[in-house]
Amino acid sequence: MKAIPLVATLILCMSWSRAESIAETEISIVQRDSLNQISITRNRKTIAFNSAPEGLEIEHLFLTHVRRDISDAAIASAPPEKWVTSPASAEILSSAESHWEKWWDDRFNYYQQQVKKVPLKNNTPGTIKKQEESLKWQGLTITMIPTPGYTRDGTSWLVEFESRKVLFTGDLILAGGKVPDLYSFQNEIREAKIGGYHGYMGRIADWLQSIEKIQMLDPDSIIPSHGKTISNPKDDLATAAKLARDIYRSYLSTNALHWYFGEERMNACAERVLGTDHGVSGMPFAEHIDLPDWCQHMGTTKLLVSEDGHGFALDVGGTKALESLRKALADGLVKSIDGIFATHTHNDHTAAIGEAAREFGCPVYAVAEVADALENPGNWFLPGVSPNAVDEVTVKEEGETMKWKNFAFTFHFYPGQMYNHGALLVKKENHDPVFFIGDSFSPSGIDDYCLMNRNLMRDDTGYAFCFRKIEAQPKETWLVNQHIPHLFRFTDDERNFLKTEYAKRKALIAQFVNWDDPNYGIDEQWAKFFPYGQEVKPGGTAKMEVVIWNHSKVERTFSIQLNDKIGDTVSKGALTIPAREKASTSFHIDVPEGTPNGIYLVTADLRREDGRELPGWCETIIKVTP
Amino acid sequence: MKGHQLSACIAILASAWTTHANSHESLYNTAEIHLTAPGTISIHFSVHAPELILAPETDFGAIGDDWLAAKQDGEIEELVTLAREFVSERYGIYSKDRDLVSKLELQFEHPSLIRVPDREGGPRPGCILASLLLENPGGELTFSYKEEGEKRLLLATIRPASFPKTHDLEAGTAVVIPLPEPPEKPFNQAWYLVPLALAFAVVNWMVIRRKTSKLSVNS
Repeated sequence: MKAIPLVATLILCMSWSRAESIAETEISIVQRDSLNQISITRNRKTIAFNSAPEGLEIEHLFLTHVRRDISDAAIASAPPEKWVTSPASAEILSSAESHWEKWWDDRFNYYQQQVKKVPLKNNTPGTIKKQEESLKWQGLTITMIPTPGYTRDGTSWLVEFESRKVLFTGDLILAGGKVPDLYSFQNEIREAKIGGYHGYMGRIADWLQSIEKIQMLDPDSIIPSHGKTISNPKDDLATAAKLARDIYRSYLSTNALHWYFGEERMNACAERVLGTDHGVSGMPFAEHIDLPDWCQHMGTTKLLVSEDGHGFALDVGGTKALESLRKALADGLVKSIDGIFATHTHNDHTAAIGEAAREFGCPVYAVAEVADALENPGNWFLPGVSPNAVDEVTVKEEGETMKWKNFAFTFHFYPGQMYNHGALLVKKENHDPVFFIGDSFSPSGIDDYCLMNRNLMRDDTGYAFCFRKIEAQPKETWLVNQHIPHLFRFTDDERNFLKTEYAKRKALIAQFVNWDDPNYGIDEQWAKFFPYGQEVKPGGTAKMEVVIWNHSKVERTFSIQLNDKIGDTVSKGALTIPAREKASTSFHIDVPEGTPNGIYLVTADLRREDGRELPGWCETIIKVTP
Repeated sequence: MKGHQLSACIAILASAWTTHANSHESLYNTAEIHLTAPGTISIHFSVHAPELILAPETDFGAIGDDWLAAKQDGEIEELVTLAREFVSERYGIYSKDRDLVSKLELQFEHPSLIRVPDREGGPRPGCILASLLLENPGGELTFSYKEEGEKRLLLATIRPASFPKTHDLEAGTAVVIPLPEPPEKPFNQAWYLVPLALAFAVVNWMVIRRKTSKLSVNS
């Protein structure tokens, strides 16, 4: 751990001391790579913000939000009765344990897309301050300012001293006008009737309002919970607001949702962030025509029908899709269902694949990145994973071909709408090739509205990879989205527009997030446990890996320490990973005999060789069963 | 048969084909036209209930299969009222220039059924099914999706022994659906007999009268 008292802070301390020499005020900031330890000492009494140096007697600990890193640091700094929080933070703290109790089941079919860095334990703060309420302490006034956006419970604490204003803002904004990541902004957009899953940067409007609120307060300094003090708030606030708006404008211009929602709802999204004269318009819809007779649309299932009347399904998203296949058989419209290809792991495409395969006695095909989530859904935490396991999946390699009736199939890994995604290129005589690309594009653009899907912005994967796949096919190749009853295809100009705007967005995101590579800021699961959940009996052993994807363009070393809440053991590991590569290291936890049944969380603290610390970054769930 | 019983029957009839996605209900508005019974047209509008309200407490992020299940009867009834408005404001169904959509004729399921998500024959999770049962007028039907639609509409037409035909409509557009020939009705058959019977009676009367006058002359 590095401890670097900041120069800027010392100057601040001196000016405060000068202003009220009798009171002997001192602000101390120990800038750490995990969380800044911020305290104010006055008349030999001390208050702190989020985290305090060990051994310091704290009168009040003000919390800016209660994600796991903050709540864990708070527990280590002062007993909860000394905590001062907003009502929103208090609510999260009071419901942490029930959240995790329900999470064993709720993690499936999950579309809320909230960051999972929820505290592990319930706590009751001693003091709750509402909007604009103040706390008087040793002659200072400390006022609660709600600043939601990066987190739902985001709170800033304004400390006024003589003519100076210092604002403690948590993770709302970091030095240089940056934020820790982009995926934390995912949220529903009520004005546009858009749910959390489709709500890319959904909380950015709240965040911009918080930024404007701070601009109005005109503080002399902003002290965030991570990184350097913001000594020139005006510039950093303006930089951050502009970057956020530019990213959102770029997103809207290539957005697949234009196809579905049209101008009215997209305008509602744009206006709340960019204002009424936003000037954003989506790309004109790409050429689209009706599906051919050999491809039937049934919800998110597409049924290919061969010349001799047999069927091959792409996705079976639920009981209703299954009923449709049954009816097609019962009505003699197809003689059999010969196979099922799963495009990706969302439940509206997979929930009834297992049952359909058993009933029709047909094989299920998928690329490797999809197959394991079908067979072992509990191993994965991704948006909308169905708990309905598929008995057996035939893994198809990248580029593997298969002949079925009068069709020629080529299987592709296709990390578009989500990383765990495949595609099927279908060729038949007397028809242009048709590329079934799951949910990765619509005629209006890119389906990247949910960052929890892991839309990586790298040259070797994500949409850059998908564009190359399209470009590798003949120009006349049609695309099919599972939700849309059309064939569609982009012109060169349209595709180039999408690629160029996407690259521009990547560059903007790189400036906005405080990482060496933007993919850390859009991919919460760059470090994760595998499996995500498992059941173990008392006396048994839970085996797991921590999997890390080094998004950096240089080799990195990651130290890992497990926080085992079952056996109280300390497990450590380290991974040195070449640039852009993935690696994993194994751990095991012995569950002692007599461990009560229930849900247990194990988290991992990560530390990068450059000093970046991420306490409690990822979690795995262990259910102890009789 | 009470309204909700009728609509429950309609829902079960509607269950055979699935033409719309099970999840991501918010992407499209959806409707189905069932032309499987020759004398009637049943039309089902699936209304994504959370979008009917914009109350601050509506947590769109938390909408799942159980969103409707947690609603009280009164809340369900309010949603049904809003759904009735939603359908009548967005859809126009015309036959021979007559608008067949009427708020009063829309049928909804009983609140206890609306609460149960994704059951067999029921609507998609989070959705309320509004149904309309019409006599088949023959000819064709114009299905108009009005400007107020806000998003696209997937409209499926379902006919016996064939795959559903799905139309993908932008708001402000319409599609013409050919209808099957309606069967002849018993009432109509009786009505056709009336002029025949009258003609038969007139002829008989004339014949009798002629015979009578001949008898008179002869006498």
